Amino acid sequence: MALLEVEDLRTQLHSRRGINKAVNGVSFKLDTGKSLGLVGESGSGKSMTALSILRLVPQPYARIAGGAIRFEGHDLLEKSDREMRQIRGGSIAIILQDPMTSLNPVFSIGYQIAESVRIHQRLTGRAQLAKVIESLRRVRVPAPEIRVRDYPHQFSGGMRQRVAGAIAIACRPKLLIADEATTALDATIQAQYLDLLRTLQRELDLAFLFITHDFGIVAKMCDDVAVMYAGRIVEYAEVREIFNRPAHPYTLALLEAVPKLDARVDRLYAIPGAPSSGYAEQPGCPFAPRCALAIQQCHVAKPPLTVVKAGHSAECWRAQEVYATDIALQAGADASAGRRSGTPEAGA
Amino acid sequence: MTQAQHSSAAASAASGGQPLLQVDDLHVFFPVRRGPVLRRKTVTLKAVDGVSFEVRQGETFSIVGESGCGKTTTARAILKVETPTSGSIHWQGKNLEHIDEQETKAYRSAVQAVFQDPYSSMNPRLRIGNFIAEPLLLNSSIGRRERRERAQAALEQVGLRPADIDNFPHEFSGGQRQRVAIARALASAPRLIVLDEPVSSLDVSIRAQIMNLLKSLQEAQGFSYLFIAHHLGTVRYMSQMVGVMYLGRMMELSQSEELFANPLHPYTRALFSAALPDHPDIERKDVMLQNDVAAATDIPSGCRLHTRCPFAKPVCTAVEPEWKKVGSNHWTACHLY
Repeated sequence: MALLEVEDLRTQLHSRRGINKAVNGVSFKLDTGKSLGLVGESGSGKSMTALSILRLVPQPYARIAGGAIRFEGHDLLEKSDREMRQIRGGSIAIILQDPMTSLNPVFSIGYQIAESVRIHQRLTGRAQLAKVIESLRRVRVPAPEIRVRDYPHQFSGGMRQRVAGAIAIACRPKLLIADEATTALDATIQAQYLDLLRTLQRELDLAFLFITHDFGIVAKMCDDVAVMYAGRIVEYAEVREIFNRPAHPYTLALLEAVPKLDARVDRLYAIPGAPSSGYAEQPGCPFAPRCALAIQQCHVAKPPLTVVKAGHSAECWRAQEVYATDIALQAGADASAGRRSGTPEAGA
Repeated sequence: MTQAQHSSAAASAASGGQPLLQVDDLHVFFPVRRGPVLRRKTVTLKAVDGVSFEVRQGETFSIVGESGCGKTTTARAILKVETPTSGSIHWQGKNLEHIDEQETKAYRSAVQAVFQDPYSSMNPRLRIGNFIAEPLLLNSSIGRRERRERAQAALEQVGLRPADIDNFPHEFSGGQRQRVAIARALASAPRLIVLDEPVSSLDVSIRAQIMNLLKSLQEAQGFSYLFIAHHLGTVRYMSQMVGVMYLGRMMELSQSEELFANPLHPYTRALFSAALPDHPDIERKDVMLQNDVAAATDIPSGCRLHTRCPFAKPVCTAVEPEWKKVGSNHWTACHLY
């Protein structure tokens, strides 16, 4: 049984402009100890999917309109608000982008970590303090016995994000959701933080759900990848499959749109237009208006979910074709630039 | 010899290009008040602490570094928003400190800027036509009609419709707003555009559009760019020359492809190692830095990286490394070389 199983999740945002189908039928599974990356641009529904799992969608605009979210076999959508409070910060924790907004400036960080220990594990006094210091030690905050009394402003950005991590792992969650958790950090600090998350995953047997726009994070951290566009998962595969042989033109386009560190390209492929909003639903594929490979059919009928290989699927009329051929979207670009085939060199 | 003399002489000789902008031993310090109320002291924050480089005609010079390294302060000094504490900035051979009011006006229209978040620099109640034409007000010989025409032409150059001129900022998406900001920079026919993280707040698919636009405009019109960014792939894509800054100082400066093929300074190598991989099979573990960045109010002695550098030797804590030429178009300041 998968630890987390999301099935046909639908989350809608109601506003004066109408109904925005922010999450429009999303399904995926995540096993204990594994990492899944939900990648997409702003408005693709990736964050809304994460917030739906925790029932933290913005009230009163958002409504979870359908589907199921099974965590350890129980449907979270059927839990009461009281039960959800036990789960949030307990067996499912989240780390957000900007720790300065999630940490309270007037309480010491020890107090804030203790809050979740107090609520979820009902520990007090010395046992509570020991637990807090242990969490800080786990996230490698130096001198935790002393720093536990410090306030958020006394920490650097990277250390503050570690504190947010300490709060998240204090109650030994099974699933940790990282919603753009390292986007605000500097490169060297981000690298340290991601390495730390990997260590924690090993030590605590955590499942990770990475919400990100950055394929670099996916490449570094994830086992599986779900690419989202307009509220749907348009492609799902094991991480190397996604990079080596994308089957959806949107994935292909995103990979070609990012300038590489290891190769100089003359011109990047730029996806025309802007991401479509979830308000107006088109008859065909939502990506069709921006897709370089769109055919007549794409504009009139919803593409089927095509399994191109066991564990690799894409919602595209031409998925088989895209998967089978080495297409480059950018004229003149080397089809394999950025994508690598053959035997990969071993990681040093 | 100073850092500047080294780099400018050799660099101009190598490419034959004329330096448009020359920055020599630039220092920008800020006084900061610190400590409890009654024992408050003023300390000096050394945002830029001796930086030299030059930007040549038609070329992109990039500055990379983490937050707090002084890259934005350097740009602000060039834009004459910040006054240098010492050192000089020459524009086409003239020291900016000694130019008169008329020349300052000309300089301000020849050097334009595009920032990370264009929305914060736009007045939400003004039509974008006013926003784009604003720099043209500096030149009193340009009338209302010509301003409007120029704004429309600029909009077309960045791929928007001339009719968009009467729209308000909120009517544009993030990527379009960045196009509007670029149009404003173009309107006064600049020579140099300072681009401070121009794509980092944009979606991946929009980033490529904006970068390609910037490249095309440069090829067509020969602008120089001073490009400030932290994403190394983006820097490689955009630049001819790259300077790597750390705590207010240039650590390494090189022709772009040379730098990416052969990074020398431990800090540059650490930045490369920390960069997110382009592919799951890539694992970079060349140089990992320890600790956090030191405070700019309390810069370490000797080489300022020695508190974090895995190769630090006794000499590094005591002596500031000299700026050395290590290749035909490559300089670094490190005791290892």
